Amino acid sequence: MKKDIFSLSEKFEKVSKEAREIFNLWNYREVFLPSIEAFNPHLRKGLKFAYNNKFYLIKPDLTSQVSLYAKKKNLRVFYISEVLKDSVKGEWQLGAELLNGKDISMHIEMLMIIISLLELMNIKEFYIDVGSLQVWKNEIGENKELEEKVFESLRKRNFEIIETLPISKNKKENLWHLFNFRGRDTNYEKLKNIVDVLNDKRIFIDFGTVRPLPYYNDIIFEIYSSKIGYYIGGGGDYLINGRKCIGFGLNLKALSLLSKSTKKEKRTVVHNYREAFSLVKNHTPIEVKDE
Amino acid sequence: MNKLRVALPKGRLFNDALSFIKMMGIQISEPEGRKLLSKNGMYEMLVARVFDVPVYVEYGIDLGITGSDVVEERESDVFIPLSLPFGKCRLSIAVPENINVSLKEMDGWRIATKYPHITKKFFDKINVDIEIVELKGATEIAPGIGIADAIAEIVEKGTTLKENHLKEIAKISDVSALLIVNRISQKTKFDLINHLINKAKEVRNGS
Repeated sequence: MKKDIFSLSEKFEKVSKEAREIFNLWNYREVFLPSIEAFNPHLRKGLKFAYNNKFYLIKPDLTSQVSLYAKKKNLRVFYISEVLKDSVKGEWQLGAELLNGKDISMHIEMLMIIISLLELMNIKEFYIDVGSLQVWKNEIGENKELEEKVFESLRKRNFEIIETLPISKNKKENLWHLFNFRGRDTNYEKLKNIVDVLNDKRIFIDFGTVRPLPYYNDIIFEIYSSKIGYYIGGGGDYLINGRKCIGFGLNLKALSLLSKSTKKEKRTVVHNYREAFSLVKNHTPIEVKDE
Repeated sequence: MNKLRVALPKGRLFNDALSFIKMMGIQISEPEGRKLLSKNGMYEMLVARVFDVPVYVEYGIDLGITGSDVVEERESDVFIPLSLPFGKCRLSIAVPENINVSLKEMDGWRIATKYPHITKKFFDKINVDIEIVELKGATEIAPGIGIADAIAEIVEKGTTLKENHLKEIAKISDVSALLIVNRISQKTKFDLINHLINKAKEVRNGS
């Protein structure tokens, strides 16, 4: 049976409408991105196809897509769009990107936007885990092979991969400590400052946090709730030509499942289209009923 | 009290998986009769098809045991903290026993398998273009009845291959049972899940 696209759209519409209002309050502008991009190695995800001897991607990852158009100026944008994950299987996302930001204010701004989005959608039971790639890189050093193994171990959450590596016991102990660190206090100043400023009990420092995309630079985060078994979303900071940027994406389906608001906007009931037209011109919500 | 939901696979892995989780301290019995769910205090056990276990765990069941072949085929987004000491076998390519062929010579061959993604990836790596015929079981009969030229299938001792006049020509990967964990449960039940992983490690290492 085909899914009920109208009922799903109703849920997505409600969440999107609330999100647009919140993004506007934060002074973010909506960006409308093309569905198809010429293939570019910087673009992630999306469905690859060939047309007239050229390669293209349908609905790629939005952060990498926005970065294609990034100019040097400071930019705050949000989007609501579908992303294809290397196949015809898509996921609707809403998200934001802040291009050319500054440490640590951009991190605080992004995390505050996420919290305000979730709270205003009446989603109170959520957590945000924040991690750092730099902390791992500092511990690993310049050893690319070790880095690959450590990140594989993090992705699988399998410390045995690290245990079998030819590295000192001391190094393994340090990595084990990071692997299992989950709390609010850390020696890594940047992360500690972010968490201290936000001062929210739903935010944890978890160095075991990993993100599936390779462009992140240091701070990464994941948003989840114990009410659903998969992530609400995630994001992190990245660099475009050395300039600092940060972004996040939230799963629209997860938001619509968790959003509890039952508030229905009061609409003026009218019985003819001329009256409806004049009310709409004055931004009054209307519902037209047949006589 | 934290509830913990575990998914175990039906079939050849079930008995080993059940005794293993009991040794980990998860005291729960096999569901009665045709039921697929059993409960004991904080524990709930779900018995599912081996191919579905990673999907259940990806979308909300806290913990599961399944084969590494299935996790790789499904490309499930789950944590894999531990490989377990049972369910050992291999995923191999087999051809009719009267044919001598190397992998490189299999360009254009039709291969029957339950593992289309793994098989395709394996041949892509060696630049051999093959056609996949996806079957849900009994792939060993496919070459004999002419719907495929070869198979990619799980081999334990090789008896089924022999009985169907097939021979193994290459190993795609070693297979074993894995302990898998839902990514959100790892965060929301951090201490409990870590305790169970450590316990599983102790059981596996016999300490």
